[in-house]
Amino acid sequence: MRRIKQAFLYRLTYFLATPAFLWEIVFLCIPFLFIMSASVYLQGRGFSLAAYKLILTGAHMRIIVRSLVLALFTAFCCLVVAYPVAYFIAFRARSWKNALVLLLTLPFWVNFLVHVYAWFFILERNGIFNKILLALGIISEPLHMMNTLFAVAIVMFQVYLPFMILPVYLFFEKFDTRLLEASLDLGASWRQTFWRVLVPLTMAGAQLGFFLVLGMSFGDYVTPQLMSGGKTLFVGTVISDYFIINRSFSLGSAFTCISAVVLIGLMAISLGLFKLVAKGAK
Amino acid sequence: MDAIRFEHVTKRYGTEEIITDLNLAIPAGKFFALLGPSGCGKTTILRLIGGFEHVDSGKIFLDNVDVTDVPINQRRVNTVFQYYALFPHLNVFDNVAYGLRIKGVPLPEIKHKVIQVLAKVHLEKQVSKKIEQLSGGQQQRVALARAIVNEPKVLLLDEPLAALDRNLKEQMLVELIELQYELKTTFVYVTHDQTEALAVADQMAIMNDDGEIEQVGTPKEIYEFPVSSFVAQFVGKTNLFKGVLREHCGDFCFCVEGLGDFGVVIDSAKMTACEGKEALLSIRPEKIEINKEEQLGFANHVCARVDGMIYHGRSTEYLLIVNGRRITVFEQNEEHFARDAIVEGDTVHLYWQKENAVVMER
Repeated sequence: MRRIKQAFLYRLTYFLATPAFLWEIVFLCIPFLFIMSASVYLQGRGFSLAAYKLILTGAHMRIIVRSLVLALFTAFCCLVVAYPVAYFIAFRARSWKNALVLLLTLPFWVNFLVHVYAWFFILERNGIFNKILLALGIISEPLHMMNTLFAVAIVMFQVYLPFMILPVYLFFEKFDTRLLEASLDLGASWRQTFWRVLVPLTMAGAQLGFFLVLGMSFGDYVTPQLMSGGKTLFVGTVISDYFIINRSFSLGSAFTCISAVVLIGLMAISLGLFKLVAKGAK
Repeated sequence: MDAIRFEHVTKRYGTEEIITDLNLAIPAGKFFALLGPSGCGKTTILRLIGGFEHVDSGKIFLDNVDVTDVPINQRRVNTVFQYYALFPHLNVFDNVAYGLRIKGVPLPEIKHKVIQVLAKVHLEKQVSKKIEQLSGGQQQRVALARAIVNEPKVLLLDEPLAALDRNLKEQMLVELIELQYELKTTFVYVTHDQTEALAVADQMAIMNDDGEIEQVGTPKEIYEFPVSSFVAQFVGKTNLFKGVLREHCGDFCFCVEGLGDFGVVIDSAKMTACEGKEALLSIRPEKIEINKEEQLGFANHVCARVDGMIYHGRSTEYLLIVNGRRITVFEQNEEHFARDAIVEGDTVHLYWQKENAVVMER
C-alpha cells in the first residue's frame, strides 16, 4: 500500500512542470499557430501562399540575412568577452564575487530606452568617443558613427553581454578548478587545458548564452530602430512596419514565420558547431 | 641516488611560514611516505615537488637536476589527487589517455598502453564507462592509471585512500605496494594515517606541527627507535616517563621519580647527550608483559592496579595505574577464554626487557 502511494506521489512530480507547459502553450504555441494561419490567409481570398511569394524575394531575404549577421556577430563578441570575465568572477574575485555578480544586473536597473539613448551622447559627432579619439590624436576629424551598423552592433553587444556572462559564469562556478591542476600535471599547457578541459565543461553555459543573445538580438526592434535612425531595415523593424503601419497581417506573419525558420536553422547549425568544438577537444 | 632532494627550502603563504629551511632526500625507486598531522605542511611539500607551488627560497632537485623553476607541465612527475580530480566529461579510456594524447603519442600506441595500464589496476572491463558510473575505489584506480601511464620519474600520492572505507583501503594498500614493486617508480605518499604509512613505506619521514622533519628512516626504525617523544606518540601508542639517565659501572639505568630505576640499553653517544639532563623513556604498550603471578627473567618490573580494559578483538588494552601514573599495555588475545583472566581492580605485575625501552632527549 505504501509503495503504491509512493509511486503515485512520484508520478505526481511530473505535474510540477504543468505551469511552465501551460505558459508555453498559451503564450507561445497558440499565438504562433495564429501567426501561421494568418500567414496563409488573405482577406477575401481564403487560403493563399501569395504572402510567402512576396517575402521570399531578394529584398526581404537581404534584411533577414543582415539581422542574422548582426545577431551572430553580437553573440560571438559577447561569447569572446564573457569567458575571461566569467573566469575572473568565478576564480579570481574571491570575496568580491557576489558583488560583481550583482553588478552584472546593474544595466537592468535603468530603463532600456534610456540605456540606448545614452549611447547617443557617446557616439554622436561631438560625443565622448570622438572627443577621446581626437584628444589622443588617433583621428583628426570626428568619426561619423551614429546611424551606422557599427552603432547598432556596439549597443547590442553592450545590452546583451550580461545575458552571456551570467550563464557562462554559472558553469564556471560549477567547474572544479582542481581539474586545471590535474591537466597541467599530466603535461598539458594552459592553452591545451583551456580547450580540452575548461571549454568542454563550460560549453553548456556558452551554448545557453549564445542562443539567448542570438535570439534576442535577431528580433530586437528598439536598438536597430534608434541606433540606425530607422534608415536600415532589420527583422524587428520590418515586422513592426507590416503589423502596425501597413496593417498587412498576412505579410507580417509570413515574414515572421520565415525569420523564425531561418533562426531555428541557424541555431541547429550552431549546436552542431558547439558539439564539434567539444569533440575536437578530446 | 636521490629521486628528489630539497635544499634549504622555505615556503610561505602570505606571512605564515609553512616550511622553514627544509632539507630532505627521497631515495629513487622506493616507496616513500610522508607522515604528519593535518595541516603540518606535508601536502605543501608534495605540491612543491609537483610544481603547483613555488619555493620562496631554496632549491628542489629531481634526479639531480634543478627543477625549482621548471613549470608543472614540464616536470616528469605525476600526481594522484586526494579527490581524484578525474575529468567528468571523458570516459575511463580518455581520462587515462589524456597525458599520452597531450604528448602526441600515436593512437595505436595510446590504445595499447591504456589497455595495459587499466589491466594493471583491474579496470579492463570499465574501459568505456563514464566516471560517474564508477565506485570510489574504481575512480581511485582510474586516477592511479591516469598518472602511471605517463611513466613518471616520481609518482605523488596525496592521501589517495582517505575517501575509501576500511576494507577497500587495506586492499588498495596491498595493490599500491605491488604496483610500486613492479614499476620501480619512486612513490611519494602523503598521509596522516600512521598505519597506512607503516604498511606501504620503504622509507618514511615524520613531520611535526611546525612543518619540520623529526625523523627519516624505515618504518621499523621509526617505530622501534623513535628519536623524539613526538615521533613515539604520533606513530603508534607509547608510555612516556620523564627521568634522568645514570651510569653504574658500565650499566645504564633510567631513574623515574616515584616509579623506580629501570635498566636500559643505550650507546655512549646517547649517554653523553642525556648526561645530567631530564630525558624521556618510551615503552611501547605491546612490549610490556602483564601477569597476575610473579615472573622471572625480566630486567624490569613494576606492580600496577587495573583501572580499565578495552577489548579490541585481536588484543586487549589494559589501562593501569602505578603510583598515580597511567600505563597502557596491549595483550594479544591468544585464547578464547584465558585461564586466569584479569579483571578491573586486580593488582598485576608488569615486566619488560631492557632492550625494549627507548631513551629520548626530548
